[in-house]
Amino acid sequence: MSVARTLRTIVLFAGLIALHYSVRPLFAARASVDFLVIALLLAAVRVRPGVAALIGFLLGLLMDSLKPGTFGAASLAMTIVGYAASWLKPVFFADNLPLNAFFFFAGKWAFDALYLTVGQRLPGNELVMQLLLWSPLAAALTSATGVLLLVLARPLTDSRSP
Amino acid sequence: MRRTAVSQGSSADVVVAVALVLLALLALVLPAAVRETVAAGVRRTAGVPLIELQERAENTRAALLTQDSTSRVVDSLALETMDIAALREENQHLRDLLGLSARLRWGFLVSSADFIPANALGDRSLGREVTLTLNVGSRSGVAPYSPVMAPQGVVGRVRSVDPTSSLVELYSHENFRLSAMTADQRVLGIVRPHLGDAKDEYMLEMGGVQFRDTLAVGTVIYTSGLGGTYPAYVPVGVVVRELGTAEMWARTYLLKPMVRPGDIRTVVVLRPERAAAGVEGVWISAPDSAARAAAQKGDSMAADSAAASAARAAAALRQRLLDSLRAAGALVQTAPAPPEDRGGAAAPQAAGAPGARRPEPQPATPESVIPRPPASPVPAAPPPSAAPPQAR
Repeated sequence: MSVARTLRTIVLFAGLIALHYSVRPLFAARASVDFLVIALLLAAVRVRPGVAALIGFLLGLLMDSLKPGTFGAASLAMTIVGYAASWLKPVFFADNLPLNAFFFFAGKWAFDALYLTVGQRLPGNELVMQLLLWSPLAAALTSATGVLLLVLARPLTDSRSP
Repeated sequence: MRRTAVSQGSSADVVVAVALVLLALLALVLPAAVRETVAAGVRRTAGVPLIELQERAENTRAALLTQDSTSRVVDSLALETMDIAALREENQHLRDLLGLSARLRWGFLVSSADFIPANALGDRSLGREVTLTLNVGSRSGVAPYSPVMAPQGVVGRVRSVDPTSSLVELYSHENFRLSAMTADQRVLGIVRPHLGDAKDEYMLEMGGVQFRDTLAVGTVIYTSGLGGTYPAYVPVGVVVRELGTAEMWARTYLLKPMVRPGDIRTVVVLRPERAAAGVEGVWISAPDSAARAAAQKGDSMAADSAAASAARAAAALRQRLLDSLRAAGALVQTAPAPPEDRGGAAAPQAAGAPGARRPEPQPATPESVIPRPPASPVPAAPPPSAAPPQAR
């Protein structure tokens, strides 16, 4: 991967993190787009699993610093999601938008499942409702947004571009 | 060719991933104080710009959410501001009404006033408000021709009475007439509506003012009480200017009424007994009217005293003249002759003439003698302070 493409990827990565803390609070909906997961997945398919796990751990640590009550849960979830995304990139990483959409969907849903389960913030019924209703909705939104960003940012991140 | 998932990543990646997972699990079981310390450290370093971004986004969202409510609040404040002026006016009107009620003290009714369209009554003066309805009627003691007034002055009179409502004829009605005067009662006239152009709508005119009397602009005109309907000293209007008329012996003045029909909200109806008792002191303050009455009374007493003194002085002068003439023998008595002498001595003879019969002395009175015309004009009456001369 060239230096220029790397820098473009880093800029895109930073931009997604900024969007997570600037655009997401504007809506404050129960099911909203998770730009951090999108950033992690986009970065994970371009690095080694170990690096993807580290990126996920750091992103999770950033999320946990704003929610000390579940400190460690986001780090654990993002570490696992990042490692898994990088480990499975040959399966999902392709020029197939529906496949990429499913990639984003699965990654967000998996994060919510791990985060809510490990964090233990919701009782049984609400946890089930969250995992079966709101998390899939959030995952769908995240998937749609991820695909849109992927299409828009393809000229910047395409492996064939300099 | 697709590589198998098992061969993705080296053992180092696995070790790193496992280490990070263990570290995350360790963070889950750390004491709260330690977790808070680590979290604070992250927030104060890498999290500063992100927290600021999130804070701005939260503020923006709050502003967007409150924009509608803020707009509604601003709109309602604007509407309330528009109503404030009307509320202040109504408040002032009610205060004036309370003051009038306190000064009248008895014999009146307070009623709200509603206008009915003139064309509903078939009134010819279309477009002008000439009548209004009151929510009090005969059951409350309203009688026909009762005067109706607002705190500022005359409104009209009751035209017809129903058990619970009354119809009032405003001063703008073409049949309205009112005997009016100035506060010092010097000038009298008749007030009627001024049927002029639109800019003079609802104005009044005071006609029949004697030509020798003039009214200054701004003079307040009051009812005179002479008509029997309105008590005296109720404000009617203010002089605006003199109107040109064909009458050469009287003046007509344009008046601005004290009360505009559009400003009438609540009125007072005087009962007949209250109107008969008068309302002096209600609009014109009591000390002014009492002082005026005292001054007028003093003026009349002085005039009477001067007249009496002049009459006494004139009588004394006449007496002196008579005495002097009698002494000089120039008096000729014109008293009727006794019946036996009526035929011969009818013609008066000059006193002192030879052969003339000197008449019997009669008590001299100013009414019974005719002195000779004096050679010089009769002197003016002495001042009242002069002592009457002694009779000779």
